[in-house]
Amino acid sequence: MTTKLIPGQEGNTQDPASWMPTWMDGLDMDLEISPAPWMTTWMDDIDSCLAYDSCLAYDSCLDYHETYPNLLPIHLTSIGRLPDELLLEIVEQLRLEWASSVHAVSFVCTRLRRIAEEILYREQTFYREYSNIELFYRTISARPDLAKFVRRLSIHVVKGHHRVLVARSQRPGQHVAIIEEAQLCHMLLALLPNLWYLDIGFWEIDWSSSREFMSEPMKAFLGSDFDSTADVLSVTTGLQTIKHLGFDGEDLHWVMCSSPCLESLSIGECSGILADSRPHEKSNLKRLQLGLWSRVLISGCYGTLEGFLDHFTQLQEVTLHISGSDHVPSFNTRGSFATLLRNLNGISSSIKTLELNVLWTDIPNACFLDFTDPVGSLKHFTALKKLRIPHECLVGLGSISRCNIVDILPESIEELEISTFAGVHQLFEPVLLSRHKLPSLKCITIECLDWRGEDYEYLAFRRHMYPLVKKFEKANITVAFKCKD
Amino acid sequence: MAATASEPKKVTLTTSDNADISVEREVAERSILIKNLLEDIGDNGDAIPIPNVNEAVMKKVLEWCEQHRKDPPASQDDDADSRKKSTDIDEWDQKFMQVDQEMLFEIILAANYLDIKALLDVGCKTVANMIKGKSPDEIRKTFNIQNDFTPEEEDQIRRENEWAEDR
Repeated sequence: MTTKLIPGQEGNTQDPASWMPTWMDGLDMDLEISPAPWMTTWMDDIDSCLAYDSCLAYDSCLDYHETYPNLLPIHLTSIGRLPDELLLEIVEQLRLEWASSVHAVSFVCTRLRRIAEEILYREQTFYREYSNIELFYRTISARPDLAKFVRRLSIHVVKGHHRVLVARSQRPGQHVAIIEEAQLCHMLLALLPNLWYLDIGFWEIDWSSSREFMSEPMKAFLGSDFDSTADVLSVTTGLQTIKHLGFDGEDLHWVMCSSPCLESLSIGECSGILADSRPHEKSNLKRLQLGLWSRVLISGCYGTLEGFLDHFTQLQEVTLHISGSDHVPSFNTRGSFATLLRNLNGISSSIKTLELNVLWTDIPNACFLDFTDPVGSLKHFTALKKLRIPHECLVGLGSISRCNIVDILPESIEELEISTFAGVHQLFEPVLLSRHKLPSLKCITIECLDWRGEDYEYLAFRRHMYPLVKKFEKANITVAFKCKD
Repeated sequence: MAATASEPKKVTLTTSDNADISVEREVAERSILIKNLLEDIGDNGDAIPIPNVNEAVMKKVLEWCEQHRKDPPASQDDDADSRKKSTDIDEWDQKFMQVDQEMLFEIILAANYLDIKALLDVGCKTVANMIKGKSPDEIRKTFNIQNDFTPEEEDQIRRENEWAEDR
């Protein structure tokens, strides 16, 4: 029977086994402590609250069978006729809407426990104070069969420590150790043989000040013996199988992205990149989303970016998000989108889709566009088929009539999506005059930057686009117009 | 004669209890299994045997197919994120699924066998809706399931899945 305390039960305080949390049962403890009366009461309360909250405070099996004598073993019920694959489908549907109910299903019967646990462990998120990541680790370390189910994890690593059980170094058994959360994540990932999606952030929000980035947790995550300049680095076991990595934090190092299976990488804005000493190592990465601050437009900033990108020789889709920061570029320090794209020089011949995004949300920060020159030429992107770009990046501000996009775009371009304002048809007219210079171009989409009312799209189309569409139709180029939602 | 030519094509399905059901081909082809069968063997007028589905369930399934005969074909997109959430069942389907449990699970099994993805989805979502928000006891009562855990096993599950509480 359970060793949990019943509130008010007498005689529990003398025997540590009766007041310690149940998960510590049978442990060879290093700590010698005895409970104060208040502590026992407090733990009683916690236990009874947990039991109530998680709907586990049901009757013992015997009482239960007496109350509901008509219940049947699951294989004799209607639902029990469904094969595992359909039960998995049902519980997966449940997870999408009511994740907490998956937990409840695991308590119904042995067969549904197996089904619910597969779903429960398949995909999980651990964010800050709700995380319980040390409890997750406790189970995963004891149950390799459950560890195999884990496919997707999202973790926000914060400053903090956890009490976890670890193996003794000198003698058999386990002891309770206090471990930094980032190190615990490292230990956790090493136990997951089938993880293919990891979203990990090394930051926390300090509500009393602005968002703050930490490098210490990243070091703890990579291991105490991690040396970013070493010739040989071992990739954390859990990272070796991942196909998608999302990363948020200050200290991204190539070793995090060197999984041979990695297909897509998403790096949140604000990230910095550490230099590495292994430029010869190449990745099979196909898709990259990278958030950068606007200082990347200034020569000399983000000095490690080009070397980092040179690892990704197979890249096909690149999306760069640029956010205004530090009031640069500015009147005194001019920037250029050409400087940004120089970082892609080593891999420009493989890229098929390129998207540039300027984040407009904060008007004061967006002013950097006033001091930034456009991309110049994209001719060296010899495989480029699709380009999505704001017109300021392509031709600059207020200089539409002076720029000829035919001289900017590579011959391979097939689709051009440009965010701008209506009335820029003169930007595209050179394409008609020099059709032979862009022989593959078959579609131009003009995206209006903001929502301007229900009829705007129609009116703008009539006013500016209709004559243009007619001209382009003759040249076998489709022109579409849309407003941003 | 001209009127005969414009009549929709029909096929005959023979159920597991040897009942013949005549149905418009377009309706029957909501089932990918039947659609593929007709494409592979051609429509020679012979009845198509459906050995895993009885007459009552087949009629119910065909009622759904009739209602959804003009729906666009199922997308091949298996991305988990693109799936609709459990509550997204349209009103007609909700009423359609108001049947006893025996029939509900028969429909799900038939939809799976006949490869009617949209009907299978509706069935699974209906069952998920019957589970959501319930305690283990309530789930057992809903589906008539006996608790086969020992108290020690219950303790073990509670301990192992403690991290998932209140999620």
